[in-house]
Amino acid sequence: MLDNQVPMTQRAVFDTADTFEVSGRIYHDAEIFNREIQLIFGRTWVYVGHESELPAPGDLKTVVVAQQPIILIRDDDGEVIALLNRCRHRGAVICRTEHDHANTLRCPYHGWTYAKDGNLLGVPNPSGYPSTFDKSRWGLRRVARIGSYRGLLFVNLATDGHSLEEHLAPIRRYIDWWFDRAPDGNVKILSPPHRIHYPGNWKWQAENGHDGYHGDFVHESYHRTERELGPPPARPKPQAQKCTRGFTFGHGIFERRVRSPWLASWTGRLMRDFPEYERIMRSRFADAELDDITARRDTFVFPNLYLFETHIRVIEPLAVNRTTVKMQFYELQGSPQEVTASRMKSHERFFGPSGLGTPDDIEMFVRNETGIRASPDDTVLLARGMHRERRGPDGEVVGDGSDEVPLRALYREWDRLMSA
Amino acid sequence: MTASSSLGTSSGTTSAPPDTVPDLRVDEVTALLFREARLLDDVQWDKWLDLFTEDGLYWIPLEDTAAGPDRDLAIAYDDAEGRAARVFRRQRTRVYDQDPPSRTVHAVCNVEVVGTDDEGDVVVYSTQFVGEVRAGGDAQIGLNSPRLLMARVEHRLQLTDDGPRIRMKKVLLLDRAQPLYNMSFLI
Repeated sequence: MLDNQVPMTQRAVFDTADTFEVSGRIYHDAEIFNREIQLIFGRTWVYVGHESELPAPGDLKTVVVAQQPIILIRDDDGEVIALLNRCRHRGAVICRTEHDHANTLRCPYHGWTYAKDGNLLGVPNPSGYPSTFDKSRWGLRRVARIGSYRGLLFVNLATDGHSLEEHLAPIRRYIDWWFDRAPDGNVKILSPPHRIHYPGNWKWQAENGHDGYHGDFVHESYHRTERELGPPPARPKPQAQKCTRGFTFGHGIFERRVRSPWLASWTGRLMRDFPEYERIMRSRFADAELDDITARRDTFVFPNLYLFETHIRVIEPLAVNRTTVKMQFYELQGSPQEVTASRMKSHERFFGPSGLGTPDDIEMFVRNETGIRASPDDTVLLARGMHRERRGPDGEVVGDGSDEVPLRALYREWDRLMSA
Repeated sequence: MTASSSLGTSSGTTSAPPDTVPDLRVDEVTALLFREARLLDDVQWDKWLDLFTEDGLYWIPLEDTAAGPDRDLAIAYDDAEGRAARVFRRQRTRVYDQDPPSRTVHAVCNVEVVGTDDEGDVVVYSTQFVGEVRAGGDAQIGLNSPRLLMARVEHRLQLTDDGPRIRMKKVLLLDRAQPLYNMSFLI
């Protein structure tokens, strides 16, 4: 039974001992979307890029957070700064391209020029302003907070609320294991990302990346193709221990863990196929550590970031029914070139707008988007595995591989922020 | 063969068209490109596979720099096995991204034989307009919206006893830097 203290039309998340449901309105109600922009994307740590995209002072990248245009630029001290991409004079956007390099930021409209740190350097014909004009007051506005964790860059438009360190704390050990697959402990973005657009709500993608239930159905065609045409499967068939994890602050993981020689995992297969990579990994880590590191995980960092085996996935909500997804392929730094080439070809085969997997996922999102319009106030059911939830080492909720534990974590945080 | 080429690249790794006239006339080249367009539009993908050489490449770059296909992510980078997998999946398995299927219309224009490359393959440039739509019921979001994809296409053709065959087809989409919707059909 649902708790009906509050009318159904005002509540979105129904979280009780017996069920977990969310109203279908959260996917197609423009007013709810506006609140998400304000209360979620405007108030939490939002992933904006990786430091390797801005290697040198003056390198800049333009991004959008909570529908606001923002410049990320590396200053002369080597720090990445986030500035609002809006001239303080008449509001024109300063930078138009996605990636650029600049020693100063100059507005083309009337020539106001700013330093990399946003300070106003000069205005043409300054005699038009009185001698009391205080340039220090008219620099580009800084985004309230910016933070980096091992090169992953996040911004937060709100001055209050928890720190980035606190935000990532619940899943930090899993993020660290993701980085540990790189011999140098770092990743590097190599090229422009796969960019995908779909006419649907952003949460379809947020829900899908760590959903361990859909793969055998949505990706049946991929699996069948690989069985028929791919390399012969390993014998005996390696088995993975699958589980899902749901954390505080909305984070979640779908995990496939295998024992040595880890052949059911991406990293294990890379070690088998590339002896030099295996040598490096074994020289750095003991077998027990490699059990943790080689486990394959799809890691969601609320609200817009996924860490995958081959790529960093960024979800960008454009409108209630328009979403862009970017898949940033990365190099495991310090690994042999052949490892990068092999991972890239594997990525291209499944992912991207023309991959053998991604378009099937996108097709489900637009099917969701269509179906949800029938009986618009009806709920979707996210209760799978509630009866078999258990607790993990850090107090997180753990479920079986196909359970909707990460989705419940996502919507508990969503509800907390939207109820503010 | 090397995957480097000159169309739209910043790499400039291919020399300018040589003085030697390729042993292939524009009308023969055009006939092949038209035939390829027709096979794609008729979804005769098995026959399309036969247009390629054994070591042929079907390539849709994201960014086409000197770094090469091992460092520059591609939208598609299919050798013979990759093309076969794509066609097998479409024709022999349950594919949701092609249910309902795409209809396409390829228009091939600006065909130009520009020379031969280091390996003696004939380099052909064309401009292609590809219309695509998936038809469905009225309520269906993501269907029923015709799209126009535009591309500069480079073919490298090998002259064989059976006529010219495709050693490489490289498709530089006009909007390769923009987010793309379902691209599970062949360009």
